[in-house]
Amino acid sequence: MQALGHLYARHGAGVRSLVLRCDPSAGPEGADEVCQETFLTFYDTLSRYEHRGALKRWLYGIALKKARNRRRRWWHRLGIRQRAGAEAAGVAVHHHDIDARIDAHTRIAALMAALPAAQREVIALVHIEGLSVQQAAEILAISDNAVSTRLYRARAALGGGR
Amino acid sequence: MSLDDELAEWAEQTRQPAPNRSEISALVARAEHRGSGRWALPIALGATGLAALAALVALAVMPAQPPKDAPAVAIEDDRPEPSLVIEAPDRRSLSAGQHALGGDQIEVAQDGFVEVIDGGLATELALRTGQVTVHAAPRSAGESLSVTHDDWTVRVVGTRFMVVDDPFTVRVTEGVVRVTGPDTDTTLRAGDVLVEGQIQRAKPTRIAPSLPPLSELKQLLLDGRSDAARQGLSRRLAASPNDVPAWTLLAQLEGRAGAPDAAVTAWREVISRGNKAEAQRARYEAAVILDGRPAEVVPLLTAFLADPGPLAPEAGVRLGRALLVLGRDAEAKARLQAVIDASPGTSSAREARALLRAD
Repeated sequence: MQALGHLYARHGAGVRSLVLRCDPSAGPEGADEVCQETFLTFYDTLSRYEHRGALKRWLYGIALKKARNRRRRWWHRLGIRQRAGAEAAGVAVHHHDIDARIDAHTRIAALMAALPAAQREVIALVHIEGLSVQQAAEILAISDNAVSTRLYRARAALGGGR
Repeated sequence: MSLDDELAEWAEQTRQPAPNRSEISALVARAEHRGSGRWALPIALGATGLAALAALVALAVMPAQPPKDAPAVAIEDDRPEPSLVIEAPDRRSLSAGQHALGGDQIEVAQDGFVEVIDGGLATELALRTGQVTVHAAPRSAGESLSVTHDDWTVRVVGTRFMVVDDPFTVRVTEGVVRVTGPDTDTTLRAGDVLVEGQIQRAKPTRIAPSLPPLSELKQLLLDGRSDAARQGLSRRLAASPNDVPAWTLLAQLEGRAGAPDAAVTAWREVISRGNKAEAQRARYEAAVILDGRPAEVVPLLTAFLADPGPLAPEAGVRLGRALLVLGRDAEAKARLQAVIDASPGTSSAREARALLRAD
């Protein structure tokens, strides 16, 4: 248990930050919840960790999966609940990231919230965490090419060109 | 401010603090609880009466045991990266325009961007965005040219054909060849056969036009480009009328565009083609749009409530209201009372009571 506490102290900030960057709508509380679940799952599945890559990347892989699952559940619940109150004809489509966009205080935060989640993930992993394309591809379980393409599109959407 | 500076600013904005001591303790306690719960539960379930009480008391006072597979020693974290040297292929990029690449002619459309990955004999054109047209030169054995995009690869194949002397036959297996002879000057493609001047063409293969992915259409809708999204959805649904997610997106699009009838039509497609959960959602969505048309709302919500889910109270209130408008008072009262009985204290129950009092 001491080891778990030590790991959490060391990597908790990084995992929480990654979750919030990949899913701005989660907010600090949602990011914290996903972060805790990540460490608990890592601890439960420790026997499967083969020490092939850095521990941090293993944690990031778990965290991104948890964040995606949370987003899917949240979106499903939001999709039903929002419509429960609709009275007028024409049901608006509310992507959960629209709320994050509205809450953003800077241009870049609003643009990041507007990106598709897949592009946000590669920006967070490559540009913020400083991982290589290959490392990001390993975490996301996609090809290097797919990572490069998503990065290109994300930067274009953010107005950064190539 | 450059994009990199903005990203650094965003990284700073979204940086989270390290967990404090109480947060760390809380996590460790959760892990202990999860670990102890796994082996404590079978003991409690097997006992009855006093024995059960004794077991529960025993659990309460027993110190928590770590899970069986818990590590006995501290974990070494941040192992050093394995040193690995990869010879990176040469990379360059092609923007819009015509480019000569060796003997190949590459045309990149406006707003297109292609990265050339030259790995010796293998040349890869990675299409990042837009459109590229390739006029490929003939290649020697071992050389290849491919165009890649995400997980797709388009590879240039060579030309393979067979010529037989008697009767004179040309059979093309790959690529295109030109055959000239007495009264003949023709082009043969893969599958074509020329026998003694007579050409047997291969049956044309129907190539379905590529359909836009649903994620792309969703993004168009979020970007406010409803017409483009609608066109893409029409193509998808023409090719695949049972594409329930496409019908769902179309319904949302039409609802957003202020076309309730079109939205309801799309939701009805989801009802008839979707699975149980999809159909249930569609019934409720359509009923919300049709609010004010009780004759159409009633059958939808009646079917919805045959398999009630989380939205049953709201649906019950809507149905009760619609039945009241239609003058079906007894049914309305039964539905509204069912809401009050099943969900007391909720806003739906209060609304149901208000409707009953008003009647």
